[in-house]
Amino acid sequence: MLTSIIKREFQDNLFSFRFSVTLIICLVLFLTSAYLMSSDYQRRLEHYSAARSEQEGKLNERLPIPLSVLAKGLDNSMGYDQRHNPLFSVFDSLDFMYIVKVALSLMAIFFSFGVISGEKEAGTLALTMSNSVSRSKVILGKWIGNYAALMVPFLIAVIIELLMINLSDSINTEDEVWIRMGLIILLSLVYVSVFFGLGVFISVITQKASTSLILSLMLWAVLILAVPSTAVLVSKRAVDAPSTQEVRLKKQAIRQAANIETTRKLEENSISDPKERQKMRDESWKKINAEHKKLDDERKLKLRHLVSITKDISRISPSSSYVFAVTTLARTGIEDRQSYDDIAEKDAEEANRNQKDLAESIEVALPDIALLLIINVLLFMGAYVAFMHYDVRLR
Amino acid sequence: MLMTIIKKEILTNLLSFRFAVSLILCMVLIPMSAYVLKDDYKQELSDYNGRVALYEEHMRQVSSINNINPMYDKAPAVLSVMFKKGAANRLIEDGSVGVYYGNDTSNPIPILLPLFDMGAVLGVILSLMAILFGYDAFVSEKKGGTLKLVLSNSVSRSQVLLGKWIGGYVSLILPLVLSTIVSLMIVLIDPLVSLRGSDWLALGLIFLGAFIYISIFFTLAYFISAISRSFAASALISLCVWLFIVLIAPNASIYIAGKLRPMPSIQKFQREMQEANRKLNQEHGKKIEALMSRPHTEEEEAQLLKEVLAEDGAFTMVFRGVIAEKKRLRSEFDQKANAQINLARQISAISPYACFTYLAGSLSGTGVEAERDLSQEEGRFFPEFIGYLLGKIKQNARTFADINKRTDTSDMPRFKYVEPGVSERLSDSLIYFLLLVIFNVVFFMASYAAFLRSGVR
Repeated sequence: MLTSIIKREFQDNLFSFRFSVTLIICLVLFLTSAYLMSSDYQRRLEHYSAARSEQEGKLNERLPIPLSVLAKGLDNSMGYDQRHNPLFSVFDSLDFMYIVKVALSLMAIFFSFGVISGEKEAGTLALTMSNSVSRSKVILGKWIGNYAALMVPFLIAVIIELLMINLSDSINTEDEVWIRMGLIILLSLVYVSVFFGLGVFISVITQKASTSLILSLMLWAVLILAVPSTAVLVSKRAVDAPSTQEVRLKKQAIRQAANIETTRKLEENSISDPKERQKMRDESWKKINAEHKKLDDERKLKLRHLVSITKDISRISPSSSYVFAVTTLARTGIEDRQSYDDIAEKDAEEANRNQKDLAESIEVALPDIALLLIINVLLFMGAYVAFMHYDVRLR
Repeated sequence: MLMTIIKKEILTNLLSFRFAVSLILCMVLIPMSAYVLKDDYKQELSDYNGRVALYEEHMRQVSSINNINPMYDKAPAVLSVMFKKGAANRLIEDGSVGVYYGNDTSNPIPILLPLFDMGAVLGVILSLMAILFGYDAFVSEKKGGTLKLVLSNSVSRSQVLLGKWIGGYVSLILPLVLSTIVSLMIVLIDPLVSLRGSDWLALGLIFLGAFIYISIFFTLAYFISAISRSFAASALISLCVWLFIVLIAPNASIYIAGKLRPMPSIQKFQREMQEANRKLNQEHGKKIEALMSRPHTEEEEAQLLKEVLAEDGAFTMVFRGVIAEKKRLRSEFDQKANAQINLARQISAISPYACFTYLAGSLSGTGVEAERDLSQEEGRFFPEFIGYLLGKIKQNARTFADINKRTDTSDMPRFKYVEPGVSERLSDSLIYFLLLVIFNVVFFMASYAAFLRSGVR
């Protein structure tokens, strides 16, 4: 019976208008994204190579990351165009991660909002339940059938996108890159099922499809759009990290004060020997550098604390967890950037070579992956329990 | 009859679930955003005042000609309490231009989780609500059978369309108006946030733009409702169009523009700037170095300094030439860079969301225009500063060593960015106002035509 329900739900969806629309949207979005992001990556790589050869191999910049084609993350901030085109800070990147985060999650709502309440309104739910079919099979069958139907257009578009990326030779696809891509796609399936589950849950707790649509969409808007950015603003009030400008001015003040002091000492002691004068200046610079380093270390500590707090607060929204996990797997995340910054202080080339391996990336992304899985389980359990008590009669 | 239809629409909506959800959402999101951004603005203002104080203290301690530097900075725009997400809020640091102080971007989180300010609430949430208010305007009445009952009476289709539109729109913007009043109270209650007359005018114009913008989606949803047979199809098509307009088109346009008009080579630009500097150092720099590295008299040093500073001297001529050359190179670079920015804006103008974002950014002083104005002000200030520096050297320095001595620099000109007036900001955003109105007219005419032709049985 379970298989029959799954088959029926799947087939109903395959011939539905929303399936066609989802397929078209997925194909247009993912393929456009693949083309634009690959071109953007190529351009950034060319600029990086040109800059590197200009500076005879000693460039203090991060090498563009191949998987930024799927999740631009913080690779965005190192980009050449990004520094000179202000619109990049106004609108988000149209990468794979963004499309899944926003468009696929919205499609998931479409596929799920009327799963129970819509059938109740149509009167077919009561008919189904009047037969000898258990409620658990109905809810499970509907979940699997509708979710599978949602995944078809997504997977078709993703496969074509990956083929496009591979055939274009725009990125170096070693084995590890393919494994990371695979993990990103799996994680995307988990993320989309969160919103699918949310839609099913709301469908089960409401009586009308239009009510569940409105409620689902509003929750989607709050979780995707409002919660993450509110977390950023709220955490800034909790942690006071000095700004780059503040530290720069303090450093300038330290330098000037030290130079004035050194000049005064040189004049007072009438030191004319160039070697002695240089020795004094070198000592002064040592002290200046030590104080600069102290300021930098203090700031780095506070900033990392701020980032940590912000991440924790923003995880209220599944979309934040998804972004953190995907960017980690793509090596464009916060931890990768922090590792790069730590090593690049001494040697940027070494920092570019020394990137996190797959096991390390998975370890970092694990809390966010686990959170998404837990939310999935909770939503399914919620929908299951609510459906056990659901009144299927048409009023 | 029209008034009756309007009243009926308003009352039906006021008692509906979606109105309750919209009201709760607006009353939560908008005041919360205002409260948090107000604090952010106060923090940024305090940071700015701190930087100014730090700079003035540094200038008092330094007091020698060769250690003074201009500080290019600007206070946060007061309307960033509501419209913060703009191009002028990023930190730009470019050694060839100067240093601009804006929001600190060394915190990676805002890059991964973009800001959601009042502009985003209006642009994203309210437009989505407009879709939800309008997608079943005709479809539900058609299915329910009430539309044919209404039209079987002596009431014209245009009256029905207009009445439903006005009634629906009034109930849609009611939560926005109420929550905006609450937000303004939250913002203005703080004495550190003070809006001048021009700010109020700019805010009023932004909200006028917002009302026009929201009505675009409402009208679009009406159009789709008039041509759809089921409310699910109407909802799906409306939301897909919304997705494209709000979340896809603006984002894609930047990358398309980047592909069609790549940024000019910064390496080439920096090479040319360095070449220009080398010209300055070539002759006179070597002369100064040659003199200073051998034993010499004070008279010789004074003579060389006089020669360097002479108005009609070779050094001054070369210096002026180099400044002009650097200005030309910079202008050429900016022109090419702006080509990409302008193309991106033109392509994204197919999206009403992009138009509204540019309009709000322009009027609030947080948009691309503010960044461009800052750059122009810096270009205007730099010659004034150089003039002051040279004047001080002529006045106080007899030898090169005197440049390092204490001098009264309290009269040094300070860079002060003055926000452009409302009329200038409005002229920058007029095209976007026009586009929003055109979108409205087109969608309304389409809805009208579709409804006049649609069957109601």
